[in-house]
Amino acid sequence: MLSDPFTTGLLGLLAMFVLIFLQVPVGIAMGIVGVVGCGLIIGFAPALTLLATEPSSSMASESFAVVAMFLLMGNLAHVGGLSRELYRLAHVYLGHKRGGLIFATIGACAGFGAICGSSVATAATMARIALPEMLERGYAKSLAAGSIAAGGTLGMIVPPSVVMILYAILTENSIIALFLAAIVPGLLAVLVYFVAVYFVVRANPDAAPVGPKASWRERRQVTGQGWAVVLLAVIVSGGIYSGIFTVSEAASVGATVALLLALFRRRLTVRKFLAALGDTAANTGMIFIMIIGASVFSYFATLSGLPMATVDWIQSLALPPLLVLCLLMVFYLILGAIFDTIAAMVLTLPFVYPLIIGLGYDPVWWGVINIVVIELGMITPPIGINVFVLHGMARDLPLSTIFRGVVPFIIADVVRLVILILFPPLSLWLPGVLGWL
Amino acid sequence: MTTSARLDRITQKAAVIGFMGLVIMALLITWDGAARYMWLPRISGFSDYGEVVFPIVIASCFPAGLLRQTNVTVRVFGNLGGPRVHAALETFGAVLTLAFFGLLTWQFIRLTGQFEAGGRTTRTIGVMLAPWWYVTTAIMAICVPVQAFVAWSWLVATVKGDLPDIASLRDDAEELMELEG
Amino acid sequence: QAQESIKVGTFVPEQSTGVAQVIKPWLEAVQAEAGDTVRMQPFWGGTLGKDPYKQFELVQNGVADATWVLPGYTAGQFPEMGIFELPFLFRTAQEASLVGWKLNEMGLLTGLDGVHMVGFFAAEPNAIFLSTPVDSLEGLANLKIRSAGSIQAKWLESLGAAPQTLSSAEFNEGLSRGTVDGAIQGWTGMKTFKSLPLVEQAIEAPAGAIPFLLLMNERKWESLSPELQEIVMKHGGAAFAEAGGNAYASAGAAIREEVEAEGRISLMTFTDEELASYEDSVQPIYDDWIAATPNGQAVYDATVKLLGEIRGKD
Ligand code: NA
Ligand code: NA
Repeated sequence: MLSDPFTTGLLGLLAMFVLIFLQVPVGIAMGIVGVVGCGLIIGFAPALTLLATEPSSSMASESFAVVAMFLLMGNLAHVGGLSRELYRLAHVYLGHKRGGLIFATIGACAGFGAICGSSVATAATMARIALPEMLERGYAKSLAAGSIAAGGTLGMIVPPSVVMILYAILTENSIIALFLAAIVPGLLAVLVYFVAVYFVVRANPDAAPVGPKASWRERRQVTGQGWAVVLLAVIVSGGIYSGIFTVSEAASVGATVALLLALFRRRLTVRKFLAALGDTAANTGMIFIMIIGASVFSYFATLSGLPMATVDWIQSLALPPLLVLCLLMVFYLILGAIFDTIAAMVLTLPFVYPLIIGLGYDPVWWGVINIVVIELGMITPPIGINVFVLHGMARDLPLSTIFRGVVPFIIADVVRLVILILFPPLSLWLPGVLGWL
Repeated sequence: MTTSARLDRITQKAAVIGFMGLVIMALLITWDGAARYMWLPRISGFSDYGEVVFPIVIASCFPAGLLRQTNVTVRVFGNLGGPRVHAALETFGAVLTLAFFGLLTWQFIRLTGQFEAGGRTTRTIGVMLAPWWYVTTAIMAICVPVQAFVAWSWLVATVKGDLPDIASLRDDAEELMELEG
Repeated sequence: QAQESIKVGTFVPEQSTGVAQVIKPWLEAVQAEAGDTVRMQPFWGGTLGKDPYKQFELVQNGVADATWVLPGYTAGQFPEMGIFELPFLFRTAQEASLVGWKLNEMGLLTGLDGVHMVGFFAAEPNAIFLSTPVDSLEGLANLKIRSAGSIQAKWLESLGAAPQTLSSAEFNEGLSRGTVDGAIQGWTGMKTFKSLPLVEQAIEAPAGAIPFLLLMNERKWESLSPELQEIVMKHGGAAFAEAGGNAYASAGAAIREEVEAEGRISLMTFTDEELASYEDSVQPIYDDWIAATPNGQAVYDATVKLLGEIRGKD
């Protein structure tokens, strides 16, 4: 046995990254390193038992089941046609402006974000709906695809959000506080994206031709059809924030209402229902493998004492907290270049969270910042999941074209990140006045 | 039909059946939430049901995910190194995943045995834990042969220097997006 | 001989009553007396596993050498300990703690598979805390109340309430959301988990006393030298029960006094006659428990006898 848990911790961290780069799935790599590392510290026989006690805890937990419920709600809303209605709603009001369809796409992404917890799902949904329309109207391919890849990230920052739920559970913070804290940053995201689009289309008018203006009759009609989305969003968000429902109830009620809407509006076939379940299962499985791996790994991290030692070491350097924060941002941008959002979050939480708390930052505020910076990784090269999703759905669009289209949005994201870091009340004011901090 | 297609059908079916359980839980939780405001009869010890049902739901999606290899994986070197390097790395990842699920299954059997020996029940209404966890454990056990098939497929592909059948299964995952209301 | 080390874990933080006043003093006493032959390693606050429901597995599997286990969180495992959940039976933390340890010495407690019981203690008897006051116990009808186990749940059901077993953290969220209307909980528990600001009434019906166990992994226990075993149990066992009972009784009383002085939370108390009549009215719950528990009658009789002895002494 190694006598020094700290060294074991450091080697474990290294081993985990090596395994990940050798194409071991992230969750499995965390789990294996976690159990071997624990074995070196407390003995292998007891350490192996953690492979049952830790996963069984997360699998039986209602809090984690909420993740699956929100995914289910988003999928049922999609097969119920709510995403398309949302897009049309944004379309009839914004479509005639220069770059109007881009504005509409981003608005619809934010709206869909309010009933969908995942970034990839938001991007994929909007790619189906908005991309063909924009290309047909002669929008530049890069800008059209880029706006959807970037708009997709709104699915994660606009609550409800799966990654926010994971952050809240793993750090024992209130999910509701996190959701409330993300509302203003979510709106800010839409705003800075709009500004970015405004400048892009002004500089390059050919990228976004102006379309016909929708008549008021058409607007009224579409608005009349859009009630379902509003209903669902109001039930879920309103239910949570007003205190009528717990988060898990809201997710369940949301899934039930989405199901009923699809049924009563005769949009649900058996095939669609099964596809919605299958997709929910696939994404749930993906997330739970990481949750399971992370639970064993963070057990090991805590046992090794490495996180606390790192915190002590950084504090002993007496660096200005803001500098540490900037270094962390750079670290996350590098990490985000390669890692999936949830992976990047669960991998780093055991180390970064104690550090942030040690520096005296607010855990809820950090939740928002952490998600915003990780979310950036979804659209940055070389590996940006949302960009890949777009490419997967429109094979004739080269990755380089989409990455080019994403650039203005990356700049907008960085601006937003700086604003959120410099003005914590943007995140903390709302949960604060509502008594959730 | 190839083995991979047949396995895919079975594991997909298992996942969908498992997730029907999630839909049922959603309906029940909605009922319980609404009952509070409508003075309908409450369900006693409600969270007890979730405690035994959720593990089965969650476990049911693992075999399908393993077969389709939808787990988050960083494939940087494989993409740079060409098909044979990619297949070799996939084999390595698949073998470790197999080992992990083997250990996981073993420990789940052990834990369920402890539940059975201790006569463990849920907290409020005393539902026996062991039978439910045996179902969960059985599903975890199914992951082992499924993953063994994945590892074997990649091993063969490494030797031959091509892509195995299972590599194309991941593309089927896009089905949902084509279906809207 | 290599130095023995004993890893002691609790899922609650160092400042909580049970750790600060019972387990930590035990650990320090053992360390002081055993000197260099042992290294007692504390892991407070869940650093060796923070899920309250998994503490028993952690010590059973040897992940921790010793942990603080709540039998209420491992339903079914310790059937005889359900007696501490029976409403109106125990009136003080001291008598519950002492009875618990004696029952263990008499070999009446089962379910200790792969573990050795170092100590038994119990919190002060629970009260019922409500977010909206009621006039009597009958007012609980149709309210959703957190119970810590199935026997309390049955009692609540007999009053027409809908019981729900929740951890203290879940309970706080439920109370503030209004998904739960109240809880059976001890004064110290209410304070530790910061639930007091969320309630407006305390009904002082002694609704069971939550038992706590300090368990050691059996293999670890057997590997200790006889001298060390003796030291561990000298500060464990009866001494531990006494220390635990006293700690909870005084902590509970202090919190209650504070609450009473503040005056925000209304207190519903009962006379001895009322309590006796309630004790009679819950006999069916006792009978059910006795019938459902393998040697329930023996445990119940022993408990009543021990209680008589303890109360007779005062
Ligand atoms: Na969202
Ligand atoms: Na990236």
